[in-house]
Amino acid sequence: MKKRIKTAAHLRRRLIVFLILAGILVAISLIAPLICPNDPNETSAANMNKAPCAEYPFGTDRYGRCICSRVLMGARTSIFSAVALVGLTFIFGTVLGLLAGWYGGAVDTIVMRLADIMLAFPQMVLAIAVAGILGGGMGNAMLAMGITGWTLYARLARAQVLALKEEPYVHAARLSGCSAWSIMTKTLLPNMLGPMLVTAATQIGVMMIGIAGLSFLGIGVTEPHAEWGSMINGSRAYLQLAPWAVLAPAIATIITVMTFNYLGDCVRDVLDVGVER
Amino acid sequence: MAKYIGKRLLHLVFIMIAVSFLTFLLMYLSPGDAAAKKLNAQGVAVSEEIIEKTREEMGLNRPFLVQYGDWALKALRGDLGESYKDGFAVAGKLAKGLRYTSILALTSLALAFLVALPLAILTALNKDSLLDDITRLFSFAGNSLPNFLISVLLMYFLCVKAKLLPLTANESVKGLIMPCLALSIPICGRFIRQFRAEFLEQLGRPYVSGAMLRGVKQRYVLGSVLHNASISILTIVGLSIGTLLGGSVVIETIFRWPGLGKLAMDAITNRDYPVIQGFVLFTSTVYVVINLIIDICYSWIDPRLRKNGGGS
Repeated sequence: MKKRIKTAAHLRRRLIVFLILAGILVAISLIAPLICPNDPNETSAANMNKAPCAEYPFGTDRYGRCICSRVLMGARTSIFSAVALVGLTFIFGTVLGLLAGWYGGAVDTIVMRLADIMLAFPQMVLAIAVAGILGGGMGNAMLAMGITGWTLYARLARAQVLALKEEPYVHAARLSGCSAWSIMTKTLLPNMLGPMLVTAATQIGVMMIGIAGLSFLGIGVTEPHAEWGSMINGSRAYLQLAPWAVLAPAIATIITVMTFNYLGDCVRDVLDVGVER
Repeated sequence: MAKYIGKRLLHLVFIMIAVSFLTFLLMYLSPGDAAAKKLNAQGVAVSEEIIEKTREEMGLNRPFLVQYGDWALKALRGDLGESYKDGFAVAGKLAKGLRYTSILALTSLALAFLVALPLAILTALNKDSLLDDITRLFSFAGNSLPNFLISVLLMYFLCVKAKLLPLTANESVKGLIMPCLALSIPICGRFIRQFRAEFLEQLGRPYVSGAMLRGVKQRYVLGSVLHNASISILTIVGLSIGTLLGGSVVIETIFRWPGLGKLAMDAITNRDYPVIQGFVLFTSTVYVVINLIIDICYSWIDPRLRKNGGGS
């Protein structure tokens, strides 16, 4: 028993550490324009592929742009787009799953069949096709990832509602004359939020990787907008000449994705709800 | 069993109709006029007259549902139209790409599986050992790194720094090493994590302690554990198929491996819509059929599932 309590406290401490780390990353992305050493979009023919120095802490890329500034601005793109995407798909999927689980019948059939159909496409394949056809841009890339992303939350929410529906307190709420809306928002939602949030937390890293992948392929966030995936792709040809142009955004991606993935794991461990994937 | 398979096949037909409809709709809704796109892809100077003539030839003046029906019936016979770019049959291009993609995907899957399974067993048996910690770190890192990043880092360290391997993949065995590594590392990381969790779960079950207490040899107990874990393992492997198909687009583009993914990316660059359409329809079909086979395998592994006639 003693050991268990100790591990719980340990887990909570770890969660706080990673919450702070993620907080720092979010803060950096918010104040990025203020701490950029140079203009991230200013090109300079004289300073092409320059090694890291005092003026350009991470060196310059093939157009002579300051990599440090671009990495900082890229944090904004990556973190904002991933968090926004998870938030939007979470809300959309949860609402649909809630309605499907509660009303059952035709609503359930339509929502779940739609989810089945979306799940018949491998996620990245559909995302690449959608983003490729719509052309670049962050909005389109987010749409491409979100088109299948919501099904995860819809299925989970529906399963939760089906399980909760038979609980005595839900019957009680219904018998005491609560409206469907009030049961859904006040009784069901708070009780199913735990596992749903865990899933959402673990999805931030996944979405970040997805959007960076699309940008890397040139069909996500496009130049001159700073984004780590597209920076890595653009500088890839100069790997031998200017490895820093690839390594800086690569390390930034690794740190950020790992932090958010670890944060998701910590949230799961602390809430201790066995949601795998 | 036969009834169950029949039911699933019926479901498959429904899903495929929906998938093909969405795929067609996607192209139909794509910005720009299809006739103009075709002419642009061929590099023909576009005038109003030529566009009108091409529209008539392509049947674009017919109602949407007629166009879809025509396309779907042709697709059913294996005719996915011709590439805008060079006029070759899309189906033939896909068949050629499929060969390379399956070589890459299957070797990557096999590599990931063969590394992950023994490591997962070892770490589950020796929980919290040094090996467990190292493996956990590796699998966590592998799971967190985007595959394009792994490719570029591999290129940097193996090709540029150590000069061990060529930068682009030719179709030889040596050329397969890099794309295969890049594709399998993230999947391997996920496998180790999930396999280990499953083994730990099985090892905690009463039947294991019961067998151990009765003095059953460890390898026989492990045999039962493996058998009982096989359904979950199959599920995990099945889930990775989608990652493999999506990942192969990125990896093949980076390493110029002439598979389906590179075909699709080239088609996207050239706005070669029939090829994109064919790629999406074809990959989804492969994906759905593999998932169906896996579901049927469940009831083959676990006879209890046969009675109530359903997989998970």
